[in-house]
Amino acid sequence: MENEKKMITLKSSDDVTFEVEEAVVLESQFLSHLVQDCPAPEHKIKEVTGKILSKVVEYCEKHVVVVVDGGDSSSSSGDDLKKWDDKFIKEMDLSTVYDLIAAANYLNIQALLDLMCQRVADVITACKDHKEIRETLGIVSDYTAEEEAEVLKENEWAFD
Amino acid sequence: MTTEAASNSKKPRPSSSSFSSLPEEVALKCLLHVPRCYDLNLSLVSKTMRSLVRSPELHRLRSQLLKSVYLSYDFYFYQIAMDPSPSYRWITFRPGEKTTDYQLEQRFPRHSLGYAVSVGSEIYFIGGRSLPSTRLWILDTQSGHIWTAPSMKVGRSEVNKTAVGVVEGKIYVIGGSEEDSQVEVFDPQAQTWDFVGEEKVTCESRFSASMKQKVYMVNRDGRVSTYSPREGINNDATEMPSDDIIKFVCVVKNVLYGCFEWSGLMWFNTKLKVWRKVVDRDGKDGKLELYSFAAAKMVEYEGMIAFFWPLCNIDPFKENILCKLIALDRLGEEIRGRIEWSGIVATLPRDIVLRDCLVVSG
Repeated sequence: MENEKKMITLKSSDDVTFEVEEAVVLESQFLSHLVQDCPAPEHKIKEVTGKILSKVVEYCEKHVVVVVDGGDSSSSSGDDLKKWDDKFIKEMDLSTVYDLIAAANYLNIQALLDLMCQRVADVITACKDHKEIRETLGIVSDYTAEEEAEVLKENEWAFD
Repeated sequence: MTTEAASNSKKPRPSSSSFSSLPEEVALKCLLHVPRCYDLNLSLVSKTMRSLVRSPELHRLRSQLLKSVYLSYDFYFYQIAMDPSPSYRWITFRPGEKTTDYQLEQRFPRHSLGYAVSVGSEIYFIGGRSLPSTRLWILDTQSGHIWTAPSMKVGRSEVNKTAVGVVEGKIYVIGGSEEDSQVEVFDPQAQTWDFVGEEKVTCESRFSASMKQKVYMVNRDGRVSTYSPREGINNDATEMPSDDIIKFVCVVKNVLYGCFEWSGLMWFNTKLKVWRKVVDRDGKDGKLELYSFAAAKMVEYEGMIAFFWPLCNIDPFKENILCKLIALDRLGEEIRGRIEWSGIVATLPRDIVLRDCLVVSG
């Protein structure tokens, strides 16, 4: 290897620092622009905490595009990555998922955002009714009993 | 440089981590992954959730992901003997939703459009119906625009047995001509036709479907052969159900299915080269429960099989088109089918003949 890998330091809102390869940063559109526009060795990301940034870095390090000689990336990596993703989201509680969605949205990491949105969708589809969705997502209903009955009535055909 | 220890102060985060705190566009992204059948449950959660579920934006995002069925039929104006040629019409729908008429018949009489195959949101009509033609028409279902693409090198028609497959984004046409002919391939990117190899082949098959980089060609009696751009034609012996006739084939999740006149829905075990019956919930012959042998059309839809039947309407001049969506699960060495949805998708004039049934994106 001729040239040393360029390292970049990311600093979270609560001053946790992460030293990562430039390639990892390029997974995020926001960060790659930031690094290009301002070549400082350290970048503070005020909107993301250390806990969440560590997850972001973990994800990006795993997903960084590895180009082996001749650009041939092994075909098995797709399956392995999927397994890794599954494990990554399963171990996470919902509040971390929301924080990670916000971070992925802010840092513009599409694949991570999609993965997290899928996780929320899976949680919703696992609920048996609207009450369970409220409970799981921590949403307080702003319907009166009459209004709720009205929505049900409008949708009666859906129960056929 | 090493990672600093996290400052032990428990600073409150600026955003409270909850679903409600997500920006609307991101919340919609989450809902996009939730199937439509949860719409009512979601609408009952809160007013905000209901407005998200009903937003035009979610509708727009969903329609990009969803697939529609395009069904064409010939309509003979009985009584009006002036024009003996039937008119050719389309309807498009998503099972469970409203049907819309698709007006194509004005400009394009049926006899000018050949073998139909869907590629993404487009429908390709290859060659002629009854008379050989080198023409390729492409219908963009998003815009409704139809145009002539470059012509094939050999005239082909649907009457002569034709197999069409999509392998790695290219369209392969096998047979379809009066004599043995070379396989032709259309590259949608370059918009060009080319011969594949020198070998001339005949197509003995009425049906074809693509799976795992191969075109599967199926005879009426259930015999299966394959064509792959790399290996050419492969005619391994197939064990067939005796005295039965196949009506349609399709591929669902890398399994080839065939609907037989008597045996009903079967799947093809590519290792043993044998057709196996799709079983019902109890592991018994699924023929009665799925009623597949009576289907008039069959197509793959969103990882399921969609069957279509004509059904009597109260109005004697009309008939309903019934659709059943069959979900398929692997159970050890068997495949089990179960009815996921069933309902009327369209009401059409009586005395029509269903023609092409295709699934397109959008």
